[in-house]
Amino acid sequence: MPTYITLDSKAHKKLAIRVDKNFGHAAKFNLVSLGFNEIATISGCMPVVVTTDDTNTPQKLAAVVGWPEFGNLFCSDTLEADNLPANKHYSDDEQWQGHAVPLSIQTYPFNYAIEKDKLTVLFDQDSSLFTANDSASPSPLFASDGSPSATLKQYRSMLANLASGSAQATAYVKALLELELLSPLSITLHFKNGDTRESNGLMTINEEKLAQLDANTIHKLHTQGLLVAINAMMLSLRQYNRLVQLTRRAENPIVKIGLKTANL
Amino acid sequence: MTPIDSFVVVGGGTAGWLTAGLLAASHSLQNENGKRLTVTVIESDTVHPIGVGEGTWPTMRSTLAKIGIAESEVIKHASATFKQASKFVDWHTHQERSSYYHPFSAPQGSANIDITPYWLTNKYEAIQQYAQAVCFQPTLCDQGLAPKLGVNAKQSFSANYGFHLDAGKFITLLRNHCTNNLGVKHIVDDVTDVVTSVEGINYVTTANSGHVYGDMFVDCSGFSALLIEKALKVSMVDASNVLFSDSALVHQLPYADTHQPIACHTLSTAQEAGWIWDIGLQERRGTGYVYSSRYQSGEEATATLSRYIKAIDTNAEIPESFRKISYKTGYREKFWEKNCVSIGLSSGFLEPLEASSLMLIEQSASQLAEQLPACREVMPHVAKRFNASLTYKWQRTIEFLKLHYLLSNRNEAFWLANKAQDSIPERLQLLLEEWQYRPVLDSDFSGIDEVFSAQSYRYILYGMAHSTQVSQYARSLTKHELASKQFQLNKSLIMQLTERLPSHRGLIDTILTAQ
Ligand SMILES: Cc1cc2nc3c(=O)[nH]c(=O)nc-3n(C[C@H](O)[C@H](O)[C@H](O)COP(=O)(O)OP(=O)(O)OC[C@H]3O[C@@H](n4cnc5c(N)ncnc54)[C@H](O)[C@@H]3O)c2cc1C
Repeated sequence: MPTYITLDSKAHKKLAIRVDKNFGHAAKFNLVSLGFNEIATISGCMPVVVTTDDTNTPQKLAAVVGWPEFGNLFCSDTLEADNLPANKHYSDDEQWQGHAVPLSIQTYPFNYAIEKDKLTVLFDQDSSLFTANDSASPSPLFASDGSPSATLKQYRSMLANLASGSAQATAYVKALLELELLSPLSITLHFKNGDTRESNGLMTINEEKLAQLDANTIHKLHTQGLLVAINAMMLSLRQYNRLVQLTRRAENPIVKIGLKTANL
Repeated sequence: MTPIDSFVVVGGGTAGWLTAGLLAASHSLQNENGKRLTVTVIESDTVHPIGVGEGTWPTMRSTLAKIGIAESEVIKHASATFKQASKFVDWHTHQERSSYYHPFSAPQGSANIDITPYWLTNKYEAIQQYAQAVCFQPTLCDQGLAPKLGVNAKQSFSANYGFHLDAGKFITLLRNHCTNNLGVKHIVDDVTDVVTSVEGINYVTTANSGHVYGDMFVDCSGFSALLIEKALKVSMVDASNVLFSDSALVHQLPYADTHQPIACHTLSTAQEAGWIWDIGLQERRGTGYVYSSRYQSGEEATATLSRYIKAIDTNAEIPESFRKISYKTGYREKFWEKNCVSIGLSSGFLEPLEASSLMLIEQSASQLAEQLPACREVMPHVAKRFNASLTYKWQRTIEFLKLHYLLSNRNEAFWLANKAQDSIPERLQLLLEEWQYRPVLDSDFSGIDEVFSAQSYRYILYGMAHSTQVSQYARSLTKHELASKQFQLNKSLIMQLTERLPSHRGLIDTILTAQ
């Protein structure tokens, strides 16, 4: 687990960051939590789902980026993620394999805390992306006058989006649960060597329930902007095909995938 | 035909090198007979360039591009910073109107609509000052933010900007570029004599390098005006009855902290008998008090500038006396006489309130390079057009500078005298009368030789809180919805930009460290 500490313009004045276009830190991720404001962009690239109820963590809006067999399929080097040098540089075809990147991945190695409506920037002090003396022109976080650099400002505004998006996502999931619009999604993976595996634990929109909603509720969902998100989530399931495609580079890729929504 | 193949530029100040650079860069190939245009700069090493002139217009960007000098070079070698606006402080004594901006960027939506008259109706943004209500740039200046995100601003947003630069270093940069890359010949010597005939100048004599011949001569010899005045006897049109300042005290002030924030605008603070400029470079500020010796003694003026400097930095060292430059306000009766063109201080001088000198140098030299006569026979035609165009530009500039003084409510003698009817050019007077009832229109300034656009007039006029009764004009204001959207857009642009742009110092850091 990364240890995040508060970024301070005096103490961390000399800090510079290297941009990793492959987002290698996320190489082992399978599921990434998502903000409500990200549904529109991410749903065209990855399946957007809700995680199942678990006594320890509340249900969350998330994007599927891979499976345990492969790691994060959008990271170019996932397949041999274990033996990567810490500060490897990537050529263009070694970059992130999608047109959209979830904010929580983009904002790493930063994180945020909210105190009295004020956003504080935190950073993972152990991240190898902070290499003040790296040869690949790192971007400083602060200008010599102590003001935040354009790079830091960019991270800061992504963090602000992340914060507001995740609060909205919580409200969105709550609304879906109240209307009982979620049902379990069950996935069957067929591997090239003939193996199959069932993957459970995610939820998606229950289309039948949605169709049964009365006109007033539909109208309300529409004016709240939730209906668009619901539709985007349903359509996003097509992106499982994309994930399957991305497994092609692996030794034992997935050749077929089966999706089943157990409509309650 | 007698072809024009050689130029001799007398003077190696900013004017001389900019002119030589523009001439050489825009005629860099050979003609069909294999002949090249030769450009020779003669500069004295005993008479130094004036060493001031540190604020430029955005036009300097295209001028440098024409000459072939990259922006990063100016930042690295001329201590340059970015200039997004002029900020006028204390030109009014009302507290709430104690300052206003003249930004380089146009108002929101100006390609489609002029929102000024809508702002004048007081229905929109009435609490906000004009420049802030219509343009994002004053807020960037207030917050010390850069005009763009990074070195390669081409892909992303960039506000309009010019430069602040170190005059001495800038000359060195220009000189090196002209001699190393553009084939400009360079003679370091004093011109001791100018030999003329009915045709104009035949040659100049130098102390150690003999006679220097040329088909055309450019007088860039500064206030001494060796060719245009001393040799060719072209006199000046006096403009000191309109613009009263005649002296400048100059001082360079190092930053107390070398990494302190840098202002991204020229600060111009009104004083008892003039105003003080304050320009932030990378390591220092350039300051100076432009005043009228008719209204303030040298001693008092020194005290005024000292007070200003002490207010910035109580520990600043104040010299016993400041460097003083005295000047006459006015311009040449003719800028081009026979085979000689005068550019720079030799062509005239107007107080540097809107950094118009370098702009007029750029315009004169560009025009000369563009319209360069092929041969002697057509030279008078080009000269006639050049003179008409430059005279128009100088006169309009004088009017625009005068505008700054007209709406002040300061009550010192200098300021009251500035409002005397007989000191205001007639054209400006008539426009001012009209502007009581209607906004400044683009068509008020639509000539091809216009130097200050209607927009600049608006920023000054409404920044100085000129009152306009738009009750009659209101009949033509049919686009309230579109206008109100522009005010809204300006606000959201301000939000977005302030969240993204680095500080001015930050952008300079980035450029200095980039390979
Ligand atoms: C107080 C003040 C503030 C200013 N601020 C601004 C500003 O903010 N923005 C702006 O745009 N402009 C400003 N200006 C104007 C600006 O400084 C000039 O327009 C600019 O520097 C051009 O000067 P120049 O090259 O014409 O003359 P100079 O710099 O005086 O150069 C004259 C050249 O002629 C040469 N020379 C002279 N006599 C001889 C001789 N006998 N033989 C050989 N060579 C000779 C000298 O060696 C020198 O190289 C300001 C001017 C003043 C006075």
